[in-house]
Amino acid sequence: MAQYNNKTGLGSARERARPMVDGSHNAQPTSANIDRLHDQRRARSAEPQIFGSMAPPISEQIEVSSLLLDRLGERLAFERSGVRLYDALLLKHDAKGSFRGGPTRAELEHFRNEEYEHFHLLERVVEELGGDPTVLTPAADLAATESEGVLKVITDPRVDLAASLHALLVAELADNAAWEHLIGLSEQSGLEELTEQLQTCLEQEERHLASVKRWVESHDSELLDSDLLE
Amino acid sequence: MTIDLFRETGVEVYRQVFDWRDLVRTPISKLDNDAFSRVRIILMNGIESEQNRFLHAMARSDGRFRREAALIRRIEHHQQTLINWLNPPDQTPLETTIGFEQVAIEVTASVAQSEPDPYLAQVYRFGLLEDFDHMYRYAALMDRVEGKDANAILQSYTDIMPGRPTSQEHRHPHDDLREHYDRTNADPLSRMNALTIMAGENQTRDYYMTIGPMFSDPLARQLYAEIASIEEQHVTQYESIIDPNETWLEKWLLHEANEVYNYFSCAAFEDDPRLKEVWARFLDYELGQLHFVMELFRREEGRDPAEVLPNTLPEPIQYRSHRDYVRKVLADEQSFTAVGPEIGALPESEDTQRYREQLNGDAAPSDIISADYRWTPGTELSAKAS
Repeated sequence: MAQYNNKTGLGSARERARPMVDGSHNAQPTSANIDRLHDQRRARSAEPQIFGSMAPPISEQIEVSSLLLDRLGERLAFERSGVRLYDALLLKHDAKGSFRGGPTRAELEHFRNEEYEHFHLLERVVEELGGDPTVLTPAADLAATESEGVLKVITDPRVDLAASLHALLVAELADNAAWEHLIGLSEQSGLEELTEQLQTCLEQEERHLASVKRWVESHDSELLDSDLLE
Repeated sequence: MTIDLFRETGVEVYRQVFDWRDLVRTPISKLDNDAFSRVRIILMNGIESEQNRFLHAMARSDGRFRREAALIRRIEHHQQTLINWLNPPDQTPLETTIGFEQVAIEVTASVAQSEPDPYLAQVYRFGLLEDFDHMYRYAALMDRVEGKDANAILQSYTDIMPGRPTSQEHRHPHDDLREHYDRTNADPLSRMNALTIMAGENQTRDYYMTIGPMFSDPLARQLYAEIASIEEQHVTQYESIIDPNETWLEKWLLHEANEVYNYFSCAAFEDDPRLKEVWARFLDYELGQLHFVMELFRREEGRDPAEVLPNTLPEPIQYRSHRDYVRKVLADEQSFTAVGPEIGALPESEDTQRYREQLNGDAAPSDIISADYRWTPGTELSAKAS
């Protein structure tokens, strides 16, 4: 049975919303020229700013470009955090179980373990290429910032497994795109063995993505059917 | 190099002005700036926050100086804005928390070593081991819930290992109150140290109280609730070592002098030229404010500020790793307790034992989150952890 307690829209407060809309319409802004907003923001973006850079290579005989190490560092950090996302999902599964068409515990654990293996692989790869796997690279930092919302949703005990999987879907979509991109960079760098290893990871990630999509779609499809029947 | 507080007058108060562009600058880089630049930003935000708190408290208690307090407080507020806004937006609340604990550890370690009063030095060492433990618990949280390595913030300057266990830090309020220095004969450095550490801890408490509810994870929320409670204990402890019999104007003089001292210390160690310029500018501002308050002190209390202030500043706070010192204190004093004003290997009061049992219940969040935790480079998921 659906619950209708959400108070955020105008529709749930028609009486007090009407004077609010009218009042705002009749009030005069005290400043003009919205272009100044855009100008200021544009001007700040035009200024020289340093977000962050790479660390010096550990090995003197650095074999690959800084860009590739940055992207490898990004994937490394993402996979590592991905393990923790799956840890949180497993706890939710243990707490309240799954739903029809949803993941089994074994599936979640399997995907978690694959993220873990990807992280270890990338640790080895970065070291072999003369980099430092403990560095928080600029791309890794940006990816972590992009993913903050995913973590927040998945670790929220008020958010059920199905909604948490929607957040996971965001992560897996980004993950797949990033692995494809990384493979392209590896190919361009002429690193055949690495490219093969990364390709294996991508194939696993594609299965993750397909499963998560299926779980989310299955859940919503069931709910919609149930809504339509009422 | 030092500063003569009576000869150097800095910038006159009426010339201490800002505009929005000046106040909101490009933040530091979380990745590229030295960790101690972040430590200085966090501490100075706390120092300015303390000034704001103090001047409001004074205005609420003694209306004679409310115009002067309002004038100086506005400037200090804007100084705080400029400083705090140097924190970068990609630095998460938990990462900033790691920065806060690094401040508490390294600055308290510096203060504890420079403190001339042995009793007060013991108080700082006692608090140091507790903040040291907080770092370990927060690092475990970051590792286990987020899969991130706190050392990206610490840059290997500060250890991540258990201190005095947070779960054992909960004490009855009366066991957080210490003896205060005597305003008539306390060493100037003792007064500076007390204000600095009290300011840092008060800001830490306020910060955890603000961000604690922003976490989704239930253990994260509990950990912040627990450690914020300890920070309240620390504020109680550190404010209790300050002589409450100092007059409002004495306290104001000391606050301004302490700000001079802290900006002087920051400028002495800062390697980022953009930040060094801020510390130097605000050092001059604080000198101007100090002289403003000196005049007020002479006029209203009919006393010479030299009765309260030293001619020259002590050696600056040492912004460097104090790893060896912290480990020695840990080895010697981890099991120390506090009973009333005394600290040492003492049996705890029944009040404290009852308080702790009540609060911790079955288990403390700090113990739960860090069960079997050992920090490893790259997190405990790293292949090298096994």
